[in-house]
Amino acid sequence: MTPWNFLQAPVGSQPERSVPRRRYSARFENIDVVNQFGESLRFRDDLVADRMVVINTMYTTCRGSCPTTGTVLMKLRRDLTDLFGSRIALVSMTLEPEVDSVAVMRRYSQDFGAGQRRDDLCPWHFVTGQPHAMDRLRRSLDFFDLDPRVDQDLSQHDATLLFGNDQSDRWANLPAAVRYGQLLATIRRIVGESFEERYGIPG
Amino acid sequence: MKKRSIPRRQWLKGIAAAPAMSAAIEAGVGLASQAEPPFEAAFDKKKQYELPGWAFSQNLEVPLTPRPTAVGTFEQIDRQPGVFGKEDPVPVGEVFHGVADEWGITPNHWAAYGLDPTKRGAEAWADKQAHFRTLRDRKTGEAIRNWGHFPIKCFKIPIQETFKKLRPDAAFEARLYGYSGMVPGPTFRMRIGQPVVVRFANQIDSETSVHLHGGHSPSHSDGFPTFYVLQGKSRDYFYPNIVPLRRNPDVAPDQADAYFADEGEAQSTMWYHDHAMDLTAHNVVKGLAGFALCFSENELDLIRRGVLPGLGEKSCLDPDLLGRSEDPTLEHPQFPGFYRRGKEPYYNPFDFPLAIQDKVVDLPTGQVAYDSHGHNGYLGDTMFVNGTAWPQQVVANRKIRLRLLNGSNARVLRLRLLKASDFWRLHRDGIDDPGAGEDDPVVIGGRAERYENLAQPFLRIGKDTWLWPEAQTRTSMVLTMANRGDIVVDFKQLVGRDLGPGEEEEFILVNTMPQADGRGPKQKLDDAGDPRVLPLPFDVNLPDRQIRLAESKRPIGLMKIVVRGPRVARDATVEHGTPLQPHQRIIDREVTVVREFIFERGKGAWQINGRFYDPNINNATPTIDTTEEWVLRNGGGGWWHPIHIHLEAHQLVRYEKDFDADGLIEAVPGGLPLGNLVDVTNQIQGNDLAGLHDTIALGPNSVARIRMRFRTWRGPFVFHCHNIEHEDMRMMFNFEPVAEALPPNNLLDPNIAPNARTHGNDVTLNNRTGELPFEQLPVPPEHAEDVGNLMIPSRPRPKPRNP
Repeated sequence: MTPWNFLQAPVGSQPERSVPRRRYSARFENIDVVNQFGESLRFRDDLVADRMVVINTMYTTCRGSCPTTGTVLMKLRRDLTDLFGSRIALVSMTLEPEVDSVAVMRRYSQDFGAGQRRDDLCPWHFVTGQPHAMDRLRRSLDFFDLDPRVDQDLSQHDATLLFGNDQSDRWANLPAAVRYGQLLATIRRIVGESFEERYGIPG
Repeated sequence: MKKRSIPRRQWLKGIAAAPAMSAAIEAGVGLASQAEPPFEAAFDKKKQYELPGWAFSQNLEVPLTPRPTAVGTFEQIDRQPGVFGKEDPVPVGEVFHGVADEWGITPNHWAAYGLDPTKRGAEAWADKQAHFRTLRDRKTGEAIRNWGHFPIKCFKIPIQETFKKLRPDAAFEARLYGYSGMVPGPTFRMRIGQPVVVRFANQIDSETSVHLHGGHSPSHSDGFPTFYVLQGKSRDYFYPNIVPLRRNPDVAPDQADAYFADEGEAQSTMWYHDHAMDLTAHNVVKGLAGFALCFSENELDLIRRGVLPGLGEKSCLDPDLLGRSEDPTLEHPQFPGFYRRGKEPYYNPFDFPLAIQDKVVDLPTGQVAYDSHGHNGYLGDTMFVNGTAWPQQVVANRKIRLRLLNGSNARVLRLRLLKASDFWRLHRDGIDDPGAGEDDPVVIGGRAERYENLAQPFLRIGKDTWLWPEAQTRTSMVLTMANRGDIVVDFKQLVGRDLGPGEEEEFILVNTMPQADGRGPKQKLDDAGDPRVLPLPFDVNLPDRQIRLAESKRPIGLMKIVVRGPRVARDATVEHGTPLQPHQRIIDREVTVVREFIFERGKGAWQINGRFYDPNINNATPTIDTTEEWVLRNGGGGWWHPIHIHLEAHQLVRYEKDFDADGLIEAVPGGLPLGNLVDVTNQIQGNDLAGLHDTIALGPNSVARIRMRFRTWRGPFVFHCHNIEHEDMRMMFNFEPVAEALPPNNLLDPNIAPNARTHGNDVTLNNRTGELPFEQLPVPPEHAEDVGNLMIPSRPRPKPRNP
């Protein structure tokens, strides 16, 4: 019997090295955005830093994927609140800030029960901003297509969710069209902080 | 609920993990998010052609080989404490994620091979030894049992966080993940007929799943994306290392020789890497990949007889099989649990496994600059071979075997070997082409002949996991992601003279494939005159063909090879045409089912047949011991999709260019235009066509027809695009081989994907909780006909000639 490979570097024996960490969110553009209540926010500092977040792109006149994605997010908001309370937030960012003013976004958010602040549900921000800044933001979040023709065509925009936990620096994305149970289980697994929070069973 | 014994340490680690993580974050540098500058490092296509002054100065690292924690018979291993080291009392299969049920039971369908499915444990093991047929030891002529002829080996591999300086000019070490804390992971050296159980213990804060790429292993051990090794937990991966049994169509199924061991599919160059759902790319880019070599009787015979490079008989020995496991000189002085160099099984100083990967390194922090939310495909400008940036290796003046792996996330390689003097000239000036624009590093046409003339020839002896039927001379080799190219370079011939003391000759391994984003090599690869020819993701080396390859103006250097010493007298005998490992071609009448899969972009992510991957839905149900033909179609957009199919080797039968492919995305529901396919199969050289393959390059506007046999193991297994970002973004499907031929119109008709997985949790021995219940979602009420709709009607199954 040979010594256990484990002995090579036993658990806990290595001192924690002070190498710098740069979180994935360091790539996110920290632009000024405004939510449906007219609040000015810094995207990275106020919506992402140290938080759990689910981000998607939308525009209010979309007749394609947005209404469906919005409905999915409504359900997610309820279920994620049960799991994470107000530690998590949803962010829907517009791809058409020229059209989607704060007032338009507020009206739109009412369709999804997000027109008023609610204490019983986690925050859901519908954000708009300066067109150029918003474009930089979506690119920094990889909501774009390499084919410029497709990228310019709003009706072909990404119907994906980007979600993560900035504290644990764990991120993933999924198409919003994935089966709802899958979506919820995956978000929970990625953003959850303890074994139990991620998997629903004691670690 | 059965009490599960988890080592206390592991348990504590699990509890401690979360606070330790956040503490680590607090302790880090520059963390307050406002003060945190954005990553400066991002992929820059021009930088990939640059080399730092220190390039080719660091020595290549050849990963160590782990020593088994136990070697023994089934009775000595099963249910015994301590087989994974004296500090780990938990017997095989009693860890959180269990072991494959095939470890202890016999699946019902193996009755076809003559086994008795009612047997259990040691009796079942002996039954498998008796019925999985035999191979022949080519030295002694002795019969070798395909299953468990050699004693079982157990290994324990912790998956750990580890620190390593990625570049000498990086300010800090990078925080990486490593199998046993090594990047790349340790190299397994296994043997056909030798079962192996590896206990992978996850000690990092990321869920993992380990895929033995090229292996023919049970579903539980195959790295299915949701068959995790969760944080703080372990899974016992059971690799039986068998060659699959093949049905002899000319013999009735109940006859003794109805099945034979298909030695043509004996594995050689496998690799193992992470496959966890949603996080594969993140885990692999942080270091979770390594080689797993397997030696068949035939390959050992080629080494023993001096056909392939090696030390002859000395490279065919395993100290553990010679009863020397207790020998203290085997142990590595600095790395307990690993063999001292030169003492490992099948030691071969002339055989280098080389994993090529690219990353972006953020110099001020030293960290891998990875983009967790990008899903086009990750490219890097620092080129690593075995975890070292631009290494060098000194070799003898003789034939050397290089097993090259494209381990990058999204980069397609065209590898060539150049003399160092040629390389430095091209690196400085670029290929001499008056038509080339100064600012554009990639200019098409006019220069391929130059690369072709400068490239040093080598012998290609295998692709992916398997040796080729014969060695062939090549000057370039295309490897898409996950492909392996097994080559022998005759440095004696390339140098052509004895090198005295102080003398040396240098060669540079280069990549000449122009690529600037995750879509794949530059789209306009085509020779202007004949778009039917390129891009063809295969080796193109036909002297009589008037085509020019698209190659980058400057070659991308990967590694320096320095040759020293006099020419060796007795060198390996392999040369162009030397027979190696014959394969059995799949003939038309074996094929019973044809399926079609279209790989395309959709809704900002990736789809197959218009669907996103769902781990709980089965997308194809082949019948075990039948053969299918799959039509893999690129849905357009200029994207490259290397398609990897788990479990089985496949053979390419046709490769077609489809010039309406970009119209396909819209055309799918109403049927496909078939008339515009142009057959370019004849542009592919023999071995590239025949394979075997485990990952097939599906270039833009391409349709590949492949054939494979489904054998031995029940599913679920996956097939997917090996651009790992595409894979994580759901360009993946399940297939679930089942034992019974099913009646037509049944939900389990092989043409129609049934909606449910046929089994799931019972892949774990004793139905222990191997998989998480919450990931096993209820199945949707309607059944998924997505595959069936695109089906070509199945043919009747062939009848045995002598019923």
